[in-house]
Amino acid sequence: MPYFLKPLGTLKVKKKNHYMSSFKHFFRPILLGLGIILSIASTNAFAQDAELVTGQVVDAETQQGVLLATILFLDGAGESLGGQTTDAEGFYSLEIPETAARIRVSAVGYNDLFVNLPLQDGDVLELQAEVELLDDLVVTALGFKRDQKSIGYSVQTLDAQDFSSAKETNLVNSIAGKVAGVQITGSSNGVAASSNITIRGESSLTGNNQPLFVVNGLPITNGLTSPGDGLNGSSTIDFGNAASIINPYDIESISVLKGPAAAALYGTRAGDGVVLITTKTGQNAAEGVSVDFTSDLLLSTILKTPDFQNTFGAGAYGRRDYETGTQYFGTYDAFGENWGPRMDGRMVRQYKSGGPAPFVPQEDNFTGFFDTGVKNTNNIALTFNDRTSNFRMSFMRMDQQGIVPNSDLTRNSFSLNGGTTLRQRVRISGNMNYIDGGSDNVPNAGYDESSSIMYGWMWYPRNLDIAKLEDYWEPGQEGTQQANHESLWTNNPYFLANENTNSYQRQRFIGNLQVEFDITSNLTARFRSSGDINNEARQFRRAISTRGTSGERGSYQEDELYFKETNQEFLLTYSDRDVTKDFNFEVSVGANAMRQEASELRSFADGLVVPSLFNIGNSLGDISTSQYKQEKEIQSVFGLAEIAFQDAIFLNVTARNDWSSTLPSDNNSYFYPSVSLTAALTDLVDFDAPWLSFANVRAAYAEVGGDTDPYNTRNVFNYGNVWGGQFVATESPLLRNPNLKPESTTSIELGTDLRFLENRLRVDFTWYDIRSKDQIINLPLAKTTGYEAKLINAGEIQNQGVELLVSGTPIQKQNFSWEITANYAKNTSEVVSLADGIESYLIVADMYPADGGQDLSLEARVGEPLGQLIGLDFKRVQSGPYKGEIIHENGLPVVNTGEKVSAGTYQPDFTYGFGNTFRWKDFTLFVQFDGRVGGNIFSRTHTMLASGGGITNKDDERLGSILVGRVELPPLNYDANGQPARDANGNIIWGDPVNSGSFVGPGVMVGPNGEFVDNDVEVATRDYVYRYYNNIFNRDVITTGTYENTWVKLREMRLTYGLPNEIAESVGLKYVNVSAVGRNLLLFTDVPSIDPEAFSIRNGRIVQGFESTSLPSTRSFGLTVNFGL
Amino acid sequence: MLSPNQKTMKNIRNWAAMLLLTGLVASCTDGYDTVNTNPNQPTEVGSEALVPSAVRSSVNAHANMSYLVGNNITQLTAKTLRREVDLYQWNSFNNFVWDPLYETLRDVESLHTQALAEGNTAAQGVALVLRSWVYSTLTDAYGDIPYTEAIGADDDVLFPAYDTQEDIYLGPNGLIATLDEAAGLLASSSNTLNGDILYGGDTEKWERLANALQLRMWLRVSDKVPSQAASGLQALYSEGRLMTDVSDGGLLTYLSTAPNQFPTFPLKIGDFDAVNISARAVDSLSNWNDPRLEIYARPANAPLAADETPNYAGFENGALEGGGSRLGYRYYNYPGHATSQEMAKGIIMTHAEQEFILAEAAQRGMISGDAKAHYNAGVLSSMLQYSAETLFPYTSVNGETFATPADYLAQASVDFDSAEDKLNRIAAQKWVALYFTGLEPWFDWRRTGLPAFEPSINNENGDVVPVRFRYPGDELTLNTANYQAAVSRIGGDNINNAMWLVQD
Repeated sequence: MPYFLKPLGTLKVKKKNHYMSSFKHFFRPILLGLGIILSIASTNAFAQDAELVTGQVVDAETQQGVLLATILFLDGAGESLGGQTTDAEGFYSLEIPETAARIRVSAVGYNDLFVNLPLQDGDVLELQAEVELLDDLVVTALGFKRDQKSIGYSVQTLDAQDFSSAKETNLVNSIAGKVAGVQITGSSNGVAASSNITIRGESSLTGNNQPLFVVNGLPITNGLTSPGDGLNGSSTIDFGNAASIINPYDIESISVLKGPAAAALYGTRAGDGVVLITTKTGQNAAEGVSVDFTSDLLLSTILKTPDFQNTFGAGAYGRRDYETGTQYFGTYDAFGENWGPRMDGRMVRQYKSGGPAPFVPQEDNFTGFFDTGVKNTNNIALTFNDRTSNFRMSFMRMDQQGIVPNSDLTRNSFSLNGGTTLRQRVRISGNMNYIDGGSDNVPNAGYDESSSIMYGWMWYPRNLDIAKLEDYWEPGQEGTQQANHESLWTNNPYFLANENTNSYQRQRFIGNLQVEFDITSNLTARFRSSGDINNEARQFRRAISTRGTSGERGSYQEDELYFKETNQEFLLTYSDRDVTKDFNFEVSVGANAMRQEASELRSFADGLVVPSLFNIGNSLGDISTSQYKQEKEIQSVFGLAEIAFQDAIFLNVTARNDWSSTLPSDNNSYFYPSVSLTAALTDLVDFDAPWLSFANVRAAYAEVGGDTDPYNTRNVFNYGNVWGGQFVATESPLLRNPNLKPESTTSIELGTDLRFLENRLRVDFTWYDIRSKDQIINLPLAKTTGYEAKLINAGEIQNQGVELLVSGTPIQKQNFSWEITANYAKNTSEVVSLADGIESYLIVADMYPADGGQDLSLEARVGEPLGQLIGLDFKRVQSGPYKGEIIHENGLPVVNTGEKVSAGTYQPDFTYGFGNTFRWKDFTLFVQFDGRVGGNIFSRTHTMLASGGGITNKDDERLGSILVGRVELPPLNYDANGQPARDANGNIIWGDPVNSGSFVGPGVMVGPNGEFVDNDVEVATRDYVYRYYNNIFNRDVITTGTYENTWVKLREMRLTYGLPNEIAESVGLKYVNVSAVGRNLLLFTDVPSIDPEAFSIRNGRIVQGFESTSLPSTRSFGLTVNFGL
Repeated sequence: MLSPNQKTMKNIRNWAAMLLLTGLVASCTDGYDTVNTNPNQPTEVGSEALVPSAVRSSVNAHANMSYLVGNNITQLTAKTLRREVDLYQWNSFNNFVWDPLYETLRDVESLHTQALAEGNTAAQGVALVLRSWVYSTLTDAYGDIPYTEAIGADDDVLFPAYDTQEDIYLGPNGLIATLDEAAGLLASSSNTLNGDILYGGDTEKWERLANALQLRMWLRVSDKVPSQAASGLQALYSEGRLMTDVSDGGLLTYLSTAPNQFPTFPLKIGDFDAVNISARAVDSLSNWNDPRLEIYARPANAPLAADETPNYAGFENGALEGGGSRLGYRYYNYPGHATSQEMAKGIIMTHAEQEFILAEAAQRGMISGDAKAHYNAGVLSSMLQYSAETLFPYTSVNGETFATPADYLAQASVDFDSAEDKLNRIAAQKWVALYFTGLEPWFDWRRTGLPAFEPSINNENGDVVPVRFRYPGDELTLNTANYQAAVSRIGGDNINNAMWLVQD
């Protein structure tokens, strides 16, 4: 039975019994089995020429006999000569073979003991109990399980219990805040949302800084499976990144290998670290059959709502008229902003009011639009284990409905794994996962009116009764014309949610088969073949009358995506753990062949002939189809060696050479080594300090090479849209390069692991320095060269940082305990150099492509941290008492168009997490906070909402509330129809100007004598805000919308009750656990309007530091029940 | 059980196996060239695939800049929203002429390279015509620009130097010389021109276009090098290889469906409505009883009730609010509204413009022709371009009826002979005829000051109409040294700085 399903109160015991320990124990079960068989087989053979020795194996501390200890006879070369086991009290009676030189005594929960022969009758062999905290077995590269103390670099492992109930849809989010130096950024991009994960900062200029995910030895890339931006450059339709599909209930542990030293053996893709996922197998389960069942129900509601204002309604400059919603001017008939009159109940004709109606706020129109999200997950797992074979199968079904109406996600996940041992020497195991998932509608979280709900919410009037939009077709024109409160700009949100859907279906198969063969007891060969196949279809529907489609004729796009990766790996391991007591080693050599195939077929019907018939054939315009195929191979040989001295000093060396198909043929081979050394000081020296339980230091150096994408060595022509029957081609604006060479990343890290007071307190500290050189980047070129960029090797990025992990148990009583784990990470990155003569590099040239102006961009600048938020600023006072103040002209801030400035980096100063576990009897309460300090984020949502006048703006301390003193031009008088009163000639009868004050921007202006004085010129608030946040429609000012991205989240609260076993058993169950969970319950931040844990998606990559009209983030809470049969 | 010796042997065997494996890997990489051969896109294409891309991208770019700047700055149309153009806040949108034109030049140079490789002098001529035309827009909009060293990244020229405007126009490899070369190639070529979406492979029409563009450029420099310009104009005029009617004009007929429609067709209604017909254009056109008013704009009371007369309202450039007539039916299809039988054409240069050039040149004594004849031909051609057959007879918005174009030309406000300032009369009709012709109405006004107009209201440029664009920020960051040299040579990068063409 997987131990995670046990009541948490008994976990400690389970962990001890959980048979995994230091590396040498890895082979022990095999040897044990082998020993028993040999000893039985050889009893007779040895009987005549062996003497009989008797005695007892005892626990060194308690002097109690040790149950079923194994005694193995070894010859002078350390080869096994067979063995025997003790009885239930630890007594042995040994027939020792003549050639035996030593014996090894081992037992579960104890350190191995080596004794030189001969033995005397009555010898008591004392076994030292393994210290529980030290048996931190971690899975490292290639699936080796290592004792934490033998590893020369930082690895952090999470057990299933760390994310056991109420799983996140995206597994990666469960890690958030728990691992030092690992920064997870979730997003509120809808049900299928991706998560960004970066380890030790970002080092790549080309933007892909995702670690490699390895599931049971099978590498899967966690890239976005979104090759493009959807339909226009401003969409953020998030179909999820690859790792999000792993069934969280199948996971046994996650190891995060940080930095190149840990990951060097995985090659190129591991330069940003590796997340190793090990799924549950039957191997470690209790003998026999067990069935485990888990059911989750999780509800989600909006965590943070923008601070909407309820004072002013639709219109502009205090005026509002409603006739048909089709005129921009008139008297602001279709003016989709909230700069109109006060919502004081005056009788104004409004959308669907049929006549005059009170002009009042609809305070809940935003929250009223969204639903409560519901997620229901059921998982059943069947496990079987006997001494030679085991298997586990599980099935998970997840149904999720998002907060956006008509958005959903379903996932069926099947997994099967098993293993068997044949003739004691051959172990065959395999596992497969099949995931079938999809969504009828993934909401779009971009500034794309054709399907983004939030695009509209930037502008929808505060006086708009959202319920009036629920019937979203114009009466009599159902299926052809949407109904909306205005007809120029936005779409009806219900129309978007129900008609303009983005759907997908995904079938993914991941599997591997492994054969391990013990050639001798020291020499093992392993062959592993693995495959990862993803088939996906996506449909983008845009109904007729959708604003934002060409000619408003609707459109339909269908994408078919296919991806396959196979790996064939061979590994030969020679392990000599018994050379002498002081010196052991293990050497492995291996080879791997990796092959990737990918293809994408995209068809687009521009305009629909028959409304609401979403088929490519139903195209009004020319059907445009594009196809992309790609192949890639990497072949590798590698080797690794571990040398252990006195089981306390460990030297690890790795080397790998890759041949990549993507590089020029004369330059496609690259070699990279790593070396690490670690010493368990407390095992070497007697410190005579009882408070110090354990101390270890470690150091590592590593290199990792890198290649590029396929087809980057030869320039090509792109297909232009066909003109009638005429083929059209255009040379690619990206110049490829036949002279590329491999990239290189080197790292150094130093660390220590200190444990005090009988392991009640643990401190683990790491310092590292990572340098990435010769990156293959798209060097941006001036347009006058005719090209946008040229691929070259250039640049050096340095990341330096520290990671600190502190854990402790302040209270440990029989019925009550309190454990704390805290982590802290600080990373500073610097762009050391770029290409010759280049001081800045555009990582993302144009964040919001639909805008004009000079664009906001994400750049690398020499001497600065990687990832600068670049745009324009206002003209500011350079010196004197007003230094830094914005200069105004005619009351408006003046944009400095001559120079693009940086609003800082998105990289945080530091990140931290803080978890508490309280146990009282059968109750366990887990509470986790995490957060970040520093780094900046540009809030697109806030600047747009402010421009639209829909929020109070009180939460932006720089400008403050924009409600006070709104200027109203001569206002309208409304007639009995609720329309502007007109005279006999049809001219509007203006009312008297309302002198309600106006806006005076904070800052200075040039005084009469050329000196700076406080700005005191009043302007219309709308004009001021438009200029201040967005430079009108240029939207290229960066500084005013950028905020320090500091926040704290109450990430998780979980209360678990494990039913006492007697009660569970009385109803025929092995155990029953009930948990109440909450996630993302509280958010503390000064960033206005948005949850700052957000990112954008551009060109198929995650872009941090820029928020893009994201959906509101959610808090969730629910119940989990699990039980075993 | 293995003896130590056997063990050693075994180890050696293992290592040997590994070495073998290494060799195996090395030999497996032989197929990498095939693996890494792009299966998606060609590395070479024929000129017939490049002619349409070069024509389409350059014509689209010019149609877009007409819509956004060219028509607005001379007040043929007005911005109702995002009024930066009309308010002369020109600091932020300096790259939408520069970027698309230099991008289109990549297509033009690809075509030129491929034509040379094929030995196709017709395609080569087409590349040279497009090259001169596109660069002329660039230099006219910005002044000094990268020219001889531009579009050279494929030859490792990553930082192209700026040429002076004078050299660009008049240098041995300048715009005019290039057009002359192009005309020669096109006249003599026996090659077939495939993929010609402009003239259907008619090289003679391309030759006439090359010559007409030469006329435009000679006139442009006529104040700087008067005698040279006069002889250039006269030579072309005497030779007579010029456009003869509307059908010779450089007019791209778009297709009926996306993505090959006129560039304003795919816009969102709200965005299309951001440009209305201007008050100045409505005044002029209704004053002339001009049938083109109904082409350029659609009635403000659209869709019309059966008994209603069309009512046209102009939007005042720079105004905060108002209610203008939307642009004409051939520029946009509103769902549920009347549509035009004919979609707007993308304009390189019209026959009408050629005739107005000749009229001005004749009036100024630079060529031997009859100014009035060319003026009348220009007006007529402009109307014919919009199907005068269906325009006449018509009743103007003022209720006056015109049976034929001659009736139109006979009006006092139009008639050439009765004009006091003939150059002004030519310019006025030329201005209206240059609707949607790139930035041409602005360049022409800048040269002559005709027809005069008031700067937009509420403008933020001290009541001065800008005369150039600023260089885009990309040049500052990506071509710094050359950019700075150019800026210091022209005395600062600002929108009111007179470039060589218009310096006294």
